[in-house]
Amino acid sequence: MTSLTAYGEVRDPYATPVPRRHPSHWISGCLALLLAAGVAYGLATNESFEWSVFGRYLFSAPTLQGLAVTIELSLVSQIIAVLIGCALALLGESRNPVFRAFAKAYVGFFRGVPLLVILLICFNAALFVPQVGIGTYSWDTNTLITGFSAAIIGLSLHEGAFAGEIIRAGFMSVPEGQREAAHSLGMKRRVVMRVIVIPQAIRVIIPPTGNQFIGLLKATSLVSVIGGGDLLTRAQQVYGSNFKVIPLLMVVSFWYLLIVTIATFGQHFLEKKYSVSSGARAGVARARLAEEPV
Amino acid sequence: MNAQPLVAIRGVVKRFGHTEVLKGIDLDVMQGEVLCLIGPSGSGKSTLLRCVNHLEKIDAGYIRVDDEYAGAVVRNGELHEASDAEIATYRERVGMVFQHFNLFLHLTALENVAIGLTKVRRLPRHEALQRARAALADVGLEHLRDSYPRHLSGGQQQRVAIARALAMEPKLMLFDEPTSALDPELVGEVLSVMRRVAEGGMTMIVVTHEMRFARDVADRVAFMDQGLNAEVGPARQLIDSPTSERTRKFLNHVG
Ligand SMILES: Nc1ncnc2c1ncn2[C@@H]1O[C@H](COP(=O)(O)OP(=O)(O)OP(=O)(O)O)[C@@H](O)[C@H]1O
Ligand SMILES: [Mg+2]
Repeated sequence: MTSLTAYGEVRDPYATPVPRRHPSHWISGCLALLLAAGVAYGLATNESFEWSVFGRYLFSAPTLQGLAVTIELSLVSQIIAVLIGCALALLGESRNPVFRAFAKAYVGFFRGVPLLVILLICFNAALFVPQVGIGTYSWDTNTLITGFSAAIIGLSLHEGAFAGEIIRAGFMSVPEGQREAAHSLGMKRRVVMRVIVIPQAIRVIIPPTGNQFIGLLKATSLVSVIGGGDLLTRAQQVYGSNFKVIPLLMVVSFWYLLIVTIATFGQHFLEKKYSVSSGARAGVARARLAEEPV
Repeated sequence: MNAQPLVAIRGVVKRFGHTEVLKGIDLDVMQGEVLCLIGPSGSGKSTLLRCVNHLEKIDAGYIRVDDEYAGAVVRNGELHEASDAEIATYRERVGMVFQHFNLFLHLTALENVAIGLTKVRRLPRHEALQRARAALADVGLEHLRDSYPRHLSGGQQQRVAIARALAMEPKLMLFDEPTSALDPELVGEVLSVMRRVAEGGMTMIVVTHEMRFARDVADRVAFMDQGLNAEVGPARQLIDSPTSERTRKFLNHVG
């Protein structure tokens, strides 16, 4: 059967249209494969990569110890940073102008000064604060500040400023009207924060915090300049004595890639879990079904 | 016979920076009375309501609800600026309904109504939920108690907001244009709920552009103009035959 329309003859207007072809996808795919093969060939045959050395150091004791320190630095600094961030966000919300100014100055300083510089300042703290003390106890700063402790302090202080901004943005994402409604019920500021603002802000805070953590995993490599004992520090110590620079940097890259990839999966999981659209979906159906006139 | 008013607003001045938004408002509301505030945009109606609930701090004058002052407490025969706790206690008994509902989006309809009872009135959970369910039933929404606000129509959200305020057993209810953000076909359900609240004897101050509601439900209407309480009178009388030229013009405009 043929049907005649104003637009010409169509054998079967109900049939699915013939799909478009995409030759460019195929061409670029082939080119990419060629390129990848070339890179792989180069990596495999270039002498300086010394894959046997790579294999030997991939799971060596210094590598794994360094990896453990990198993960420890990231986790501990991230936790302290979130605590600092919470404190900053609360100070920033305070009605006390001194507190607000402090929070602003803190964030301004640590956002403005590069992390590398902050790490160096922390490491050399003994130069300007020779002694620290609480009450009658006091210690030599030099004995307290090791590469590791300076790294924790520097990373936490620096990331704390960014965590503070993330948390503040989370607080601000809760509409002012809801706070007013809560206040009009007679809730005190602290209660409003706890039962209205924070439960909603958390969804907004979690995804960028995951991003921040991934950034932090890589940023910990900067502590190698103060001998923080992390993955890169250890690799540098090894290639400092055996001169196998490239293989050891490949080992380092491999581990960073692996932990960042794992963290990215975790990040996707959290993002899904806390996405605003999920949850309470069943409510729609129920609301629709139950709809009836007053 | 001449009882003391439940709400006394005296000489209230409110400034935002250099602009004086309220220029000395005097207004009384008796126990059980429904007062509608009408007036052009920017005349200070919302600001006055927010001052009554102390969401805004007044610059001069006073507002008294029953025996408590907005933002102030009496000590040794003097008014002192209230503490956070005292302000919260004051607000417990002044319910407020907002133009944009302002429901808590992470809580179900039932939880929205119950949260003030558990977190402010400190009722045990089961009792709070029971009362919240009753309050929802009063606005005809018991069947939607487990729905989240984003799955409710505007009219339903506003009715939940009314239930939320009523559950606290306030002495006074404030409504700031409760139907202005609604699609026309949803206005009726909210107004009928408000009408029932009024019939139940609640003292209410209602900012509205719904002249029919004002005429039928309100005992008195106050016309606000440029930060002043320009004309007050019995609802029908003021709406049907206003004395001031300014009021007449406004009514012609909206009616
Ligand atoms: N937080 C604020 N800061 C500065 N100015 C404000 C603030 N709130 C209100 N105003 C000003 O005060 C005046 C009165 O505002 P208000 O919201 O009380 O008017 P309204 O009578 O409720 O008007 P509408 O009918 O549009 O709601 C307006 O000119 C407004 O711009
Ligand atoms: Mg208004």
